[in-house]
Amino acid sequence: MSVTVNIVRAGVFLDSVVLMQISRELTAIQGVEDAALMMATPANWDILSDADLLDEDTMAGPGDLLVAVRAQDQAIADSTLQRAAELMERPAQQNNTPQELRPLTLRSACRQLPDANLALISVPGDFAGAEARKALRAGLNVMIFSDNVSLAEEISLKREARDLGLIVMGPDCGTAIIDGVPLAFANVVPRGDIAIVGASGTGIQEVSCLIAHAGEGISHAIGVGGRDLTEAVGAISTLTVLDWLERECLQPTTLCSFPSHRPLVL
Amino acid sequence: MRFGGNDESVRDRLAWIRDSLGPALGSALQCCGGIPLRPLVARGLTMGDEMHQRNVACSSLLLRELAPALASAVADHSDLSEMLAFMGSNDQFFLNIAMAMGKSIMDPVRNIEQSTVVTAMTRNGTDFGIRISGLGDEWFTAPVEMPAGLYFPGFSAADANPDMGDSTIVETIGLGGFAMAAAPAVAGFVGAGSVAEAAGITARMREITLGEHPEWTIVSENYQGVPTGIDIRLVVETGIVPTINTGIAHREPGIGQVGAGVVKAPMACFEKALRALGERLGIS
Repeated sequence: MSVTVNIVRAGVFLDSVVLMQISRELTAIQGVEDAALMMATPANWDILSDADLLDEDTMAGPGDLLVAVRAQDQAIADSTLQRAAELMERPAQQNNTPQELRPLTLRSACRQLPDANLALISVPGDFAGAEARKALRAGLNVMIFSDNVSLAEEISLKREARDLGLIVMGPDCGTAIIDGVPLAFANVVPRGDIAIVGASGTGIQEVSCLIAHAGEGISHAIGVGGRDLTEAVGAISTLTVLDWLERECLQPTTLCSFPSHRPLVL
Repeated sequence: MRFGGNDESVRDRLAWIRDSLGPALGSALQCCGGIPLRPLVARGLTMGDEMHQRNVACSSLLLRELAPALASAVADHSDLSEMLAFMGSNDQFFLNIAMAMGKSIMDPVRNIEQSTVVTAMTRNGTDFGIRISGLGDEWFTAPVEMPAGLYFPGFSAADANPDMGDSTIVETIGLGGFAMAAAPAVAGFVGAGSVAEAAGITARMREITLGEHPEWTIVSENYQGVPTGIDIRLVVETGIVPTINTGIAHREPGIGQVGAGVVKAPMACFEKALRALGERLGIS
């Protein structure tokens, strides 16, 4: 024979979602047939009645909180009501401080950082071109860490960048130091007035280390990608860097180094 | 018919709305010259409504605006009292108005050449459909999903019907799930209901929308506007689908609402719409 117990908390208001969450927790208790916490409004009264959760002697009004339990026996009903009281008085969970919301796309990253001027793209090569193009169109210089980007895509991206006054570093650009900030893999070297332009791998790293050992420092180390100096690409990014250095857009720089295993075809 | 409820009380109530409340509201609105909804919703958002599952503030604000005019329009005191009691005892009264407002906001956005903005979202219990501006009145549909949520006493997920109803028009304009950060409690239907969870849902919706409403702002987000203007390109590109706050209907007719929760729009609608627009524009 099941037991229905109602407790009225006169003048107590709790949010309906909180009450539904507590109800769900009580309903899961072994031996509880049904349980609900509701503000005793006329509409809720009907719901409780339909669910067979009302004791016929219960009196409550719309401003009162009704705790209703139907259980297999009195002991279970009592302990469930006790549990309901605990849950209602439980202090707020500690996870309610808004965490920093990390952007999920380039678009929202740009909104969070309106002054950003460079994007590092590291996605499978088939998708790198599309992401790089979005970055360029958002006014960002691009470093493409990804490999497996087709030559045709590289040429197309670099031409678009040139027209926009931007640079594409890479693809397959594994290292760079821009104004002292290392990107991808880079060595810790002193800052100085020597700029390096290179394919984008160990050559740049080695030269930057040699310069550091010689007591000098690096202003920028810019990888342009292993194919930039080919005739097909036409050194678009290399020329952009040289142009920027010449116009002193990149400072401070007095010397420029070109590690490359390709002959310069300027 | 409310959530499939169709007994005599429901039919009587509908007849009363048709014969008494409706005409009285009509006269009251004419008498007061209409009630601007945009500022009302703006205030409701600052008071914890998201206008789909939470309409307590807006229902109250509306009643406050409407009561004097209604009192002028309705001669009989007991009729007036019944109407005020009906509106005052239903926390969701404003949802009806929010839906009509949503439709009026999105309809003028239809039929803009090449536009990828979603102009309507709706569900009928089996399919979820969207329309986009660039393709007029064509519906792009996919099977609806099951809502996840909390149930009224006596009911469980086994009683639930798949997602249903046309109230998703409020998400289409940037309210409901899109404005979750304004109503953190609603996030409790699927999670713990923390402020952080709610903010996270609104942040995800910002990834698939073109802009922010300049007047409908969220206090806890430093008065950032709600994300509005769903772009199907962003949905398909990011893999993020609209989050919808919804009531849950019983799967048998005649019973009505059995719970409330959150559901996602199916991605296939957006993919179909994007392909169709691509074809229309000659982009493969």
